[in-house]
Amino acid sequence: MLKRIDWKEPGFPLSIALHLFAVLWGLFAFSSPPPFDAANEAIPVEVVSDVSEMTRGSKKAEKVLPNTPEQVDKVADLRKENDPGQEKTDTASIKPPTKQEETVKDEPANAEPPQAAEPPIPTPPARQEPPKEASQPPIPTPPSKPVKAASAVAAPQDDPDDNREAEIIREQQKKDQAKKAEEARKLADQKKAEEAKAEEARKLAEQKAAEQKKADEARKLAEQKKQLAEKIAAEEAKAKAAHEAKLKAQKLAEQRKKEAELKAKAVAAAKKAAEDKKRQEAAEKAPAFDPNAIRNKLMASHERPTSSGSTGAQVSRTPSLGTRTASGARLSPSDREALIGMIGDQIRRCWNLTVTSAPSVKPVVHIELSANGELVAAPRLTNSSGEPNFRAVAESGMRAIRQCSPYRIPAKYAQYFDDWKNINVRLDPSDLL
Amino acid sequence: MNHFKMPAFLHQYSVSSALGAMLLVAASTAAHAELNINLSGGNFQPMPIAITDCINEGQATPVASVITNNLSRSGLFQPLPKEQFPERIGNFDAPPQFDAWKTRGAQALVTCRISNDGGRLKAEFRLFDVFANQQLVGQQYSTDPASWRRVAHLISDAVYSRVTGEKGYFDSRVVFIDESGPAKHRRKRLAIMDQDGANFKALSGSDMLVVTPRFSPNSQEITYMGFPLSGGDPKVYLLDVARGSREVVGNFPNMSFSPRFSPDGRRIVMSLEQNGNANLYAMDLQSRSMTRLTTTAAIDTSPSYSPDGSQIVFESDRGGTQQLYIMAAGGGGAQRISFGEGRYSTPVWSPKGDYIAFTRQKGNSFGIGIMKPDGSGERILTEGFHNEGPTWAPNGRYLMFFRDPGGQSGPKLFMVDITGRVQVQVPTPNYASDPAWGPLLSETR
Repeated sequence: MLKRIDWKEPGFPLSIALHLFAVLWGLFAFSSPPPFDAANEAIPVEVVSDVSEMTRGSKKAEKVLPNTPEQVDKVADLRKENDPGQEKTDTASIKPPTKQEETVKDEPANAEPPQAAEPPIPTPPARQEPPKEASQPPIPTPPSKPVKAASAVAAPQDDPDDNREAEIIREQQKKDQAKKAEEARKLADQKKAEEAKAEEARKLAEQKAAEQKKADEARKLAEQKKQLAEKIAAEEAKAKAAHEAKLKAQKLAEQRKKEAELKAKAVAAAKKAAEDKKRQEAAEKAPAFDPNAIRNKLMASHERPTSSGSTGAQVSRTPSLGTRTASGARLSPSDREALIGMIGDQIRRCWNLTVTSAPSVKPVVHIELSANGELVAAPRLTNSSGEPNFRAVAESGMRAIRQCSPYRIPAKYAQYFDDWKNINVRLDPSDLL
Repeated sequence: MNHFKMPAFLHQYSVSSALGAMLLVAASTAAHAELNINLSGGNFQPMPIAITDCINEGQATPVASVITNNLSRSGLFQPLPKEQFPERIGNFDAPPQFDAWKTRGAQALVTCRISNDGGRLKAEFRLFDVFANQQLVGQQYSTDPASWRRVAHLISDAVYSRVTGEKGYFDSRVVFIDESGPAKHRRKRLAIMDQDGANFKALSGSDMLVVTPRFSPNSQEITYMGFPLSGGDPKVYLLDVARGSREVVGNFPNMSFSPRFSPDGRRIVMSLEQNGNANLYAMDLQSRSMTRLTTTAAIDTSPSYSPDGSQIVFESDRGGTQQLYIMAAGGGGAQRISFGEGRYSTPVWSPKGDYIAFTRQKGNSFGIGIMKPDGSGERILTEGFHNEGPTWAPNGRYLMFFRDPGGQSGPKLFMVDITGRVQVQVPTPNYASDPAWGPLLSETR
C-alpha cells in the first residue's frame, strides 16, 4: 500500500526519483555509447624498403642479377627425361673451385671420408694402387670443408688445443689409411693366388675332358671294327649307329666339360664368399667406436641440408637478390652508408683546407661519376653564399674531388651504379678548429 | 563518465607526428636518386703549390723567391722544390702543361714575368688551378724598380687571398723594439721592418727607452711610450714613419702608458696614473681633448678598440686579479669576459672583430691565446716561458708576439696562426720584443 507522499519529508520520494533517474540514464547511456574516434590516433609508420624485391629475390643472394633467375634446386620430375643437361648442371654446381681442389689434394687426410662410410675397395683389386684410393673419394667433397681446412692452416690464432686435436685426428686417419691400404694389398695378393688356382683347376678339367674324349674315340673304333667283322652287310645302319654313338659321346664330353666348369665356378664362388667373409671380418676388426671417426664424419658432413628443393625447368643455383625492375631503392641503407663513407674518405684524403679559421659556410658540390669511378664532368657548385671564404672552401673541395678521381668503388656496387653515379658532396669545414 | 575524447594537444601532436613521418618517408625516397655525402673535417694540410721563377725581360729580381718564402711561412702553402718542376715556363702567355704539374702533386701553379716598362718595373703573374686546368687570377703591377719586394708581397697577397678567401697580410710592416747588447746593458730602440724581416730600419736613437709601440690602423703613424734616459716621466709619443717627425701626445702631470689608436686613427686611448691607480682616457688627436673612460680605484690598462670603434676591451685588477673587461667606447659599466685560471693581460681586439688576443699568466707559464669577444671559445695558441705582447696581422688570422727564454738570451719574435698549427719565427737582426703589426701598406693613407 502506497503511502501518501509527505512533501514535508521529501527524503524518500527524492531518493526514488533520483534512483529512477540514475537507472534510466544509465540504460540510455550504456545502450548507445559514442564510438571511439579512430581517425585521431597516430599510426607508427615503418619504412619498408621494397616488398617486390623481397618477395622476388633471395635474402642470401649477394647481388641483383640481370635476368632475375629464381633459385631452382632440381629439375621438375615431369620434365626429367627432356632435360639432357641436368646431369651436367648438377656436377658443375657441386664441383668446388680449383683452389679447394688443391686443398683437397694437399691434405688427403682431411679430405678422406670416414672409413666406416663406405668400403673403398674397387672391383679390379690387383691393379689398384693404394695412393689412388685417397684421390678417389667417392663422396662428393662438401665445398665448405676444404675452406675450413685452409683457414685453419692460414689462421695461427686458432685455439692450440684444436690444432693438436686436428693433428691427432690427422695422424689417426693416416694410420687408418695405411692399415687399410695394407689390408687391401693383402687381399689383392690373396685374390691373385686364388685366381691362379682357379685357372689351374680349369686347365685340369679341360685336360680330363680331352682324355676322356680320346678314350671314347678308341672305344668307338673297337666297336666299329667288331661290327665290321660281324655284320659287314648292314653298312648304312652301322654307319648310323656309329654316328649316333659319336653324337652321344660328344654330348657326354660336353656335359663333363660343363660339369668341370661349374665345379670351377663353384670353387671360385666359394673363394669369393671366403673373401667377403674376410672383408667383413676386417671391417669388424676396425674399432667399433672411434670418437675421431665420428668427429671426422661430423666435420666432413658440412653438406647442405638436403631438401626437396624448388623445382623448375632448369637447375639454377644462383638466385638473384631481387629484381632489377623493382621500383624501390636497390642500394640498402647500410650499403649506402658504407659507400658514402668510402667515397667520403677518399675525398677527405685529398681535401686540404687552406683556411686559418673555421668558416661556417657549407658549399655543396655536385659530381657525376662513371661506372669505373671517374669524374664524368667537372664538379659543379650547387649553392652560393656571400661569405668571403665560401669560394675558397668550395674550390678546395672541388680540387680535392678532382685530385682524388678516379674513385675506388668495390665491384659489388657496380650493379647499383644508378644509385651512386650522382653525388652531392656537402663540404663542412666547421669542425676544422 | 565514459566519453573518452583525446585532449586537443595530443590530437595535434599525433597529426603533426604523422605528417612528420610522411615527410620523412618522402625525403628518404627523394634522397635515393643521389648519394649525399656530408664531408666534414678535412685536413689542415698546406696546399702544394709550384711557384716558378719569373721570366725576366730586362729586370732580374728574385720576386719568385720572396713569394715562395711568404707563402711557405703562412703555413697554408707548401711550395714545391724547384728540382721537382716538370717544365720550365718559357712563355708566360701559353698555358702550362697541367698534366705534368698534376703528376708532381701541385694543386696550384704561379707563373710570373718581370719586364722593364719605360724605366718602371712591370710585374705580371698568373695563378692556375692545376687540377681544374684553369687560371684563377692574373694581375699586373707597375712600380719603381726599388719596390720590387712590395710587388712580390702584393703578388703573395693576391695568391693568398684568391686561395683562402681571406685578406692577405704580406704587404705590411712591423714595428718592434730592437734589443742589442748584453742582458745587463741592453740597448732598446724602436725599429721597423717588413713582416718577413726584410728592410730593417731603426726609428729612434738610444736616448730613450721605448715600450709598447702601436701602429695606427690606417696610416704610417706609430704611438709609443718613451722613457727619456735623461730623466723625466715617461710620455706617450706619436711618430710619423714616412716623415720621421715625432711629438709628445700629451703632457700630463703623471705617467701615461699603453696607448693605442682607435680604428679610425683619430683618437688614442691610454692609461693615466693617478695616486697609484690607473684609469683609461681617450684623447682626440685633432683637438687634443681628453675624455675619462673609467673611474675606479684599480689599475685599468691595455685598452683596445673593437674594429667598429664601439667597444673597448681592457685589463683591470678591479676584481682582485688581472682580468679582461669590455665596456662601451664612451665608458660606463664594464663586463668581465675572462674567467679562466690565471691572470689575463694585454688584450687586443682582432681587426676582423671575431677574436680578442691576450696573454695569460698561470704560474710561470705565459700563454698567448684568443677568445671570442663574449669570452667564449678561449684557446691558448702557444704556451711557455715567456710569451707576451700579441699583435694582430692586418687580416686578423695571425698573431705576432715575442718569446723571451730569459737568462743571457734575449727575446725573439714569433708568428702563430689562430689555429695554433702554424708557428714560425720572424727573422730579426738582433733580439726583438714588443712587436706591433701595421696595416696593409696599400690600405694606408
